[in-house]
Amino acid sequence: MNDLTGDRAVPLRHAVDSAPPASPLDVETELVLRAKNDPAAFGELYEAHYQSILNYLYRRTLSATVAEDLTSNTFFKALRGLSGYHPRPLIRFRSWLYQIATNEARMHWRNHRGRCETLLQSDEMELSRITFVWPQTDSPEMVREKQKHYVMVHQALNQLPELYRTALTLRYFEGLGHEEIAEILCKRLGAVKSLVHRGLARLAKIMTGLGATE
Amino acid sequence: MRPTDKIEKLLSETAVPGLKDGLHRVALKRELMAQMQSKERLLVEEPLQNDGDLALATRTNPWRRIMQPQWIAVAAVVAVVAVSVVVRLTSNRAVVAPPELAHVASSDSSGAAGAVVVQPPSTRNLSATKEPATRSLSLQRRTLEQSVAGAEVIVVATALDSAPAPPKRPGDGPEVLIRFRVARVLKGKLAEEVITTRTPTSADDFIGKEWVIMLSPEYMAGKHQFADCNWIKAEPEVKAILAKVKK
Repeated sequence: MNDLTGDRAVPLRHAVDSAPPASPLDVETELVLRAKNDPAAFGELYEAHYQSILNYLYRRTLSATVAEDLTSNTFFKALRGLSGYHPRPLIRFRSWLYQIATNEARMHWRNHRGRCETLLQSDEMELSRITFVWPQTDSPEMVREKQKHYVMVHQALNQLPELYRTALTLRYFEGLGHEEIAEILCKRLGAVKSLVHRGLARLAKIMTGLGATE
Repeated sequence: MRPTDKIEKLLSETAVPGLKDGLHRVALKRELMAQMQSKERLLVEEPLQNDGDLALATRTNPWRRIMQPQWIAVAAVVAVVAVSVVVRLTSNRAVVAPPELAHVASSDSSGAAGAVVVQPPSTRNLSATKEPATRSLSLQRRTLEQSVAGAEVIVVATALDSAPAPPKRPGDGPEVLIRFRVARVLKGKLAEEVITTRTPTSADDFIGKEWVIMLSPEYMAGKHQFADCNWIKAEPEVKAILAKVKK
């Protein structure tokens, strides 16, 4: 029987990814409260989360330019909404940023529904900016090979409904736990686990159709 | 191995791409800081009464964005232009006052019931604005004494016939030219036996009747063809006024 309650199956990636480990909540809360008035504090938050948001949006869109644009939107919206943001116990600031970024990605796909395919083709210049931190990859050939594989998975993911796609991306590519995904998607823990499981089942069907699981 | 486990393994083992640092990071931070500092400046300019609440301190009211100096300046310019346009339209409307207004004004002044007045009517001609005094006088309540005093020639004449007057400008209301045969001259000198006046009033009201017509100096100079036209019942009163003036 499949265990839907534990995080056993997947190693969390953020230990090796560019995203910093979540800071202790009281320290982060204090920083967020200071950031409402203090540009330096906001700068600290920005530096801590920029890379993870940029990477997340790149993994969602597969275009460096689009990812940068959406990252800008995310941080500008965060700055605008910071005054209304009240840190709650057990809810991370990072989750809030991911929530904004997810909405940005969703809006982007909604506006560019007909142009997904063109966005999937990275040019040479963009390839030079791509890095695979896990496992460490340096040679351009390896990067191209891994990018090709990722694009294939991404295309399969794109055939899923938006909610499943987001849940699976956050879970397996961002390495977030179920709890944090629940915070981002504003759903209960059980609902997220079931969402991930059903998403996997649907993706399995799609991948089987593509012959990618062999 | 179940398909979901297989997919889970595949996803877990997929190498995920990331982007190396670019100029974007620095540029975005600079923009964010600039925006935050300008927000702070706004707050310093308008210190809050409730200084204890951090949430209130950082809340920007939507109207504050609208109340930028450049928007106030633009709004002021738009308001000035709008007012000037309204004033111009209103003044044009005063010049093209409907003939009914002139009717009422004159019938009151003459004291004689049913007095008909043919006033310089709707003309959008700019030259008309050169005579503001005359025009405003015509639109005000004029007494019969004033009309008599202002006329260069006063005659009693019978309306013979009429013809549609050519419009001076496109869009002018219909006007008619009426020919009068002069029966007698009450004031001034007039060589012509037949005179023509222009009026927006229907010609049927005039034809076949006698009228006391007051010809202004402008009419005599040929500047226009409009003339005050009073019922014949006003003749004794006009004569009395003329006699009074002679004394």
